[in-house]
Order: sequence, then C-alpha cells, then structure tokens
Amino acid sequence: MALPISILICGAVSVATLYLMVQHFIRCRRQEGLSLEELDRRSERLVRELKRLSGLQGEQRLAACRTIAEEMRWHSGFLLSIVNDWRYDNREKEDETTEPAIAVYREARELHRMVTRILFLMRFRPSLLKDCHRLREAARQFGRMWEAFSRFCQAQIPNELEGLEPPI
Amino acid sequence: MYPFSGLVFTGMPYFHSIDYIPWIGSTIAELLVVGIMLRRRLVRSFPIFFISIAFDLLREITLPAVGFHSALAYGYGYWLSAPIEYVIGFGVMVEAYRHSFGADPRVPAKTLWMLGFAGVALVGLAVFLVLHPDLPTTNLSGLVLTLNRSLELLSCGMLLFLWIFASRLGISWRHHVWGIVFGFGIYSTMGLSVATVHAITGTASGDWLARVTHFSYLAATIIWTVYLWKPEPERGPVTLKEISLASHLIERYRRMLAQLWRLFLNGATD
Repeated sequence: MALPISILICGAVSVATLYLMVQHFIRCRRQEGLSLEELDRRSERLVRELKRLSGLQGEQRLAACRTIAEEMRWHSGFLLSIVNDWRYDNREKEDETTEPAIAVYREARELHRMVTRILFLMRFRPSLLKDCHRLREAARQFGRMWEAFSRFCQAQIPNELEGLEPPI
Repeated sequence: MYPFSGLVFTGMPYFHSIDYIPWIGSTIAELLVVGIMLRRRLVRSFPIFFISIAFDLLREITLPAVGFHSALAYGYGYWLSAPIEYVIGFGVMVEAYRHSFGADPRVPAKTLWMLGFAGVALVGLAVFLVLHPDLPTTNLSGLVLTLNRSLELLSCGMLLFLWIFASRLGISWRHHVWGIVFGFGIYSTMGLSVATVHAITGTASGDWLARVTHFSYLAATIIWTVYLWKPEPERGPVTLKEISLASHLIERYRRMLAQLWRLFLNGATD
C-alpha cells in the first residue's frame, strides 16, 4: 500500500526537526566545561598524531587518521561554542561581529562536514583513504577556520588585540 | 497546546486516569514557569512566551470546567481557541528569532533569499496539503483535522528553518532562548506527527496517539521550567580573562598551524 504523500512530507519535516534539535542538545552538553587545558591537550594530541603518521602503515595509520579527524572535529565545536557565547554576551558589538562570526560558522561547518566524511569513509570505505589528500584538505580547512576565528577575535576586541595579525 | 483535544468529537468516555498526568503535570509546570518568570523578571525579555503560558493556563482551568458540564461545549471551546493558540505560538517563534538575532541583525542577502524561498516552499506545502486532503473536507471534522495538520507543518517547519539557517544567520544560542525553542520543538514535532496520522485516519481522539501530544506538551513544560529556573550567567563587557583567552587561542593556533604546514610540506603524511 503506497504511503500518502502527506506522511512523507510531514514525517520528513518532523524527523528532521527532531534530529537537529537533539543533535544540538547533545553538542551543547559535550561543550560544557570546555577549557584551555582541554584545548592544549587536544592540540598536542593532534600534532603528535600528525608527526607519527608518516611512520605508520595499515591499521595503525588508519587509527592515527581517525584520531586526527576527531580532534579537528572537536576543535570546530570548541570554536563554535566560544563564538556563540561571546556574541550572545556582547550584543553591543553586533554590527562588527556578525560577518566575522558567520565566517567562523561557515568554516567550522565546512571542516565538520569534511572530517565527518573522512570518518564515514574510514568506517565503510577505507580503501578510498590510502593517500591522505582528504586529510590534507581538512588540515587546510582547519587553518582557514582558525584564521576566521582570529578575525572574529579582532572584531570583538580590536583594541586589545591590535597588532596581532592572523597568520596567512 | 491543550491536552484534551481528544474530547472534541467523541466526548468524555475517552478520558482515562492516565490523562490526569499530562493535564495536572503541565498545569503545575506552567504555574512554576509563570512564577519563575515573574520572580526573575523574565516577562520583559519574553513577553509573548509569557502570554502563551498564561493563555494555556487559563484554558486548562476553564475548559475542563466547561467539559464536565458539556462535552460538545468543551469541543467547540477548544477548537475556537486553537487559532489563538497558533497565532501566539508563531509569535513566540518570532520572539525567539528576534532574541537570537539581536537588536540590529545583519542578514546576508543570499541567506535572506534562501530563507524567503524556503518560507514560500513551506507555505506552498501547507496549502498543498489543504487542497489535496486525505479526508473529505466537506464535513467539519475533516476540515478541522486537515487545517490542523497544515498549521502544525508551518509551526514545525519554522523551527526546522531556524536550525538549518542558524549558522548562516549568525544566530547565537543561549540558555533561556534555547530552552524555549527546544520545548516548542519537542511539542511541534510530536504534534505534527500525530496531526498527520489523524488527518489520514479521521481520528481526532480516543487513540493512544492523541496522548503522545499530551505527554509531549508535558515534556515541553518541564523543559521550560528547568531552563528558565537556571539563571543565565550575567556577563558584562569583554573582560581581561576573555582578552587573555583570545590571545592564547591565537598564539596556540599560530604554533599549531606552523607545525601542521611543516608536516604537510615535508610530505610527512604521504
């Protein structure tokens, strides 16, 4: 028996809404208690895994790639929470910070999409990840995300950060 | 948002003991929400949301009193108040949008176009479902169920767009607004699902599915109570700590990026 089209339309809308809300709720919970110490720890882990990568093969290499991708994804969530909190708490700077904030959101979202794809391929099609061009692209995106964040910081507190140019 | 839509066409026999839970539970939760909002002076921040809660409370107290005398009067009273409920509900979502955007939002033109197009598509879908109903709309019950489904679709769709476009719009979420929207989201998604099934089966009440809406509203009121009870942290202008954080983050990023480039340029990942 064919489903009425109304079930497909309404079902899709309600499932999508519920999914996005629950995903946001889980992400908010994970981002509670973020700290600089956590950032330092994860940044060191990211760089350490990258250094090890050249000497690894097979499953070990795959595991290192997975760690790198997961750490990058964490960084994107971390930056998003910082930007979100700062913008909400400093509404008087709405004009200056909207576009830089949207830029951070855009770059972080793109990074999240890239690393999610990498993790998906690792699980189901690891053969497509033999070279590391996807990870390399994700690393470039990682840099773009942090660059956008630097610009946001400068828009937020320009006087205090004067002279601290974001590296290209 | 009233839990007893089930009484509309079939009368009191479908009211069971379990129905007391969402009715009394949501009434208590709403009283708490009103008390918290008055005590914390949140009425000024969210006036339309406050009106929606007050309206529901009034309805939850008045309509059962009517219903115990006449189920038919209850039914008409409920469905006549439904349009007011929807208008207030849309008003709350607009309030949430405005609260998240800030005083003078700068929405990129491209995003505005996408949002406008999505809005037109959503309204078009809602109209389509009215023009192609699954039940005959020549009688009152069929018409009401069909219209109810389309309005639920509009309500849920607005929330869906809020999430999809949140990052493109630069929306910053924080505690109270997120709690209000979250509660509405739970209620709207369940309401849409139930309304869809009812608009196909022609059932308006008496089934277990109708209770899903009631309990989802109870969940929404509990969510609102919890989120509004917890105060938002008071923060003023940028502090020294934040400046220090920004400097540290940027410095950390410089070092990390330098290491990354060195590694990739040296072919360390080949």
